[in-house]
Amino acid sequence: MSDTIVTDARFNAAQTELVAFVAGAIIPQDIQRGMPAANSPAILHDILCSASEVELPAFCVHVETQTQTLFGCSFQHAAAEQRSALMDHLAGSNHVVTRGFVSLVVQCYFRDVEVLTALGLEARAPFPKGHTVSAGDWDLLENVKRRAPFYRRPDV
Amino acid sequence: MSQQPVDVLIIGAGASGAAAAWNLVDTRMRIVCLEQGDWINPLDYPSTGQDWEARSWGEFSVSPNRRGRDTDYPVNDASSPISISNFNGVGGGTILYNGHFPRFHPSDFKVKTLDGVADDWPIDYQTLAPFYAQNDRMTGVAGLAGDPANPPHEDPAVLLPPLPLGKSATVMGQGFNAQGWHWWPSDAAIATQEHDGRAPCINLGACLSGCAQGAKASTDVTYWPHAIRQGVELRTRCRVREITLDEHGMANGVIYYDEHGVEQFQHAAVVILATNGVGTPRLLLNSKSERFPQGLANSSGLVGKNLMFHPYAMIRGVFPQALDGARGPGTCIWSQEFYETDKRRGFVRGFTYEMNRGMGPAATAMLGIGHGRIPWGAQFHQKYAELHERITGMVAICEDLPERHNTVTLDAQLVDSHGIPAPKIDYTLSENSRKMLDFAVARASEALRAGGATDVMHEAPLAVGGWHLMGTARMGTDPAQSVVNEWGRAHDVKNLFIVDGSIFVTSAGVNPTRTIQALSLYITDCMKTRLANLFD
Repeated sequence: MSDTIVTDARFNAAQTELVAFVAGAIIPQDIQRGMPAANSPAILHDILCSASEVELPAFCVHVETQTQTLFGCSFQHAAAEQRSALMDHLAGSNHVVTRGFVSLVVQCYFRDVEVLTALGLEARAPFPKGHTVSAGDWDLLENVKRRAPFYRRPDV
Repeated sequence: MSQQPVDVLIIGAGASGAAAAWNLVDTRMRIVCLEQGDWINPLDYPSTGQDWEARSWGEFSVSPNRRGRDTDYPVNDASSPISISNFNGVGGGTILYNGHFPRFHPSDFKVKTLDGVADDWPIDYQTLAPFYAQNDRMTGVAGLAGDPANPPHEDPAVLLPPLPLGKSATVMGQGFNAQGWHWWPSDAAIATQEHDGRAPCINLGACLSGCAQGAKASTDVTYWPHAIRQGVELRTRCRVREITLDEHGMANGVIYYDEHGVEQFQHAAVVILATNGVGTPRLLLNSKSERFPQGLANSSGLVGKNLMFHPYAMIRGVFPQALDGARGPGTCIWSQEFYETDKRRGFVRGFTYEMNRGMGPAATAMLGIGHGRIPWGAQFHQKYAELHERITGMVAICEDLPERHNTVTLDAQLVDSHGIPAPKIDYTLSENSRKMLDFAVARASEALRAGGATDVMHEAPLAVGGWHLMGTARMGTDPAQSVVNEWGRAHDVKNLFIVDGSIFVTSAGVNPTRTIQALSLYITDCMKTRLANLFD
């Protein structure tokens, strides 16, 4: 059961439904890879908690406007095939508010423990443990070391 | 309210202000530095959290407009294809820089003589060389002596071991070798072993949002502890509104807002500006008076003119094998194959390739979506998997030539949280820069493919790449053609000095911090040797 009461909600039900739909359309579930959808409960909660109270409503207005323009109806009343076409339209539009929303979804998605674990990454902060990086192949530098200096000398 | 007078007042606690403060402490003068930002607790850096990527795009974003801290000031950069990046706090831009730490070349000081464009500097490489060396000792520079693209280091023993190549620099080294092109381990302002009490790098991979380990040489962990221990007073959350003059036209102090927002006056015998190529002209233009109606020290009309960025090209290759991902500092190797002028290329001057290792999962996804490699929907995961930890590449740091129409002015409406007019940027990418960017993208793509890349993505100019802010209060011997003289003193106001990137005559094709700090040490050294007749 959610511990959020109605008056705590930062976004209304219509906005929440729209966000859930678009987030899931951007990143759907992939069962084979063990990847959740971006509208899975934990990630959607993160998206809604992290969203700007200015930018997310602006995105919702943009989606509603596009739905009206394309299909003459509200997002809520758009049919499944209309919503699908709308997602194609949004994905191809590169509109600034859409880019901002995609960035939000991606940021929240790729900090989720289930996602990071499925990608084979340790779900932890980089600090203080750090990481190991291999030395690499230093023999590759031998040719460059033999090269004569080639910077310009203004005094020569 | 008026504070006790001081001998030297430094405005800005970033790369240049810190070096200036430290270099002046042995004069035993009373030195105060006013910094509009805070000390940053290293434990607050994004790399201390699992959500480090998201936080590096928010509260630690390089964009002051995106970051929006109350210690930031807004910048109207809508009339520029390149947006401003900075950080306001103790350490300034070094908090968020990558630690890529090349020097200028000797040819960079003689651009007019060698290539017939822009202007020569009033000083040369040899003048700065001892200050480069001094700065290297304070900073702790990782690198490898013997680079054929650069003059020999004065004291190779001072260099710390170079950063690891890892898998990423190895494939790029292979690619550059296949082309027969220069590359070399980058000089990096990153401690690869303990240095001056700082712990060595542990490959956090988040250099661009602050180093929690303290291995990266931001000046809050290099110069400032030494300067403060020796008596410099550093006041944070103090935002300067204007520099004031006495009846003789000498600077006599500044009006600023303290941490409580209370207006204060700080009297000073000498004022040093260290507030970068946007902050410095902003402050000078905000310091109008009867004597200087167009802004302080602006009889030449050049304050705010000749703004130079480094137009950046970003080029990334996708490889079939797993590379380093977000592990390790971005800095690894550079190439200066195309640094010096070759007019057959269709442009003058040149650029440095700064190789940047890999990126985290969120950045990978955004890059893939932005370049059409990752679609929305069912194919998302398959296409993401083809990029995950398989990307590496570089940026080309292109020399920008000074043009008077590229400016910092005061915005007519936009103000900061204290009501001080904010800067407005007007910048146009030159034809020379456009050709250089195209050339850099083409050659980098060839090298990446020669190293095994199966796909290449690029962006040029990089829209968020306004890290390097230069040229807006240029140095020179002619008061009609420059704002400060050959040792950083304003031509118009003989107790006003500028030590930041705004005094650059040309930009070179390298990251500027090492040269900014060497210049700051050089100028403050000139001040010390002239103390008896500093205002003559």
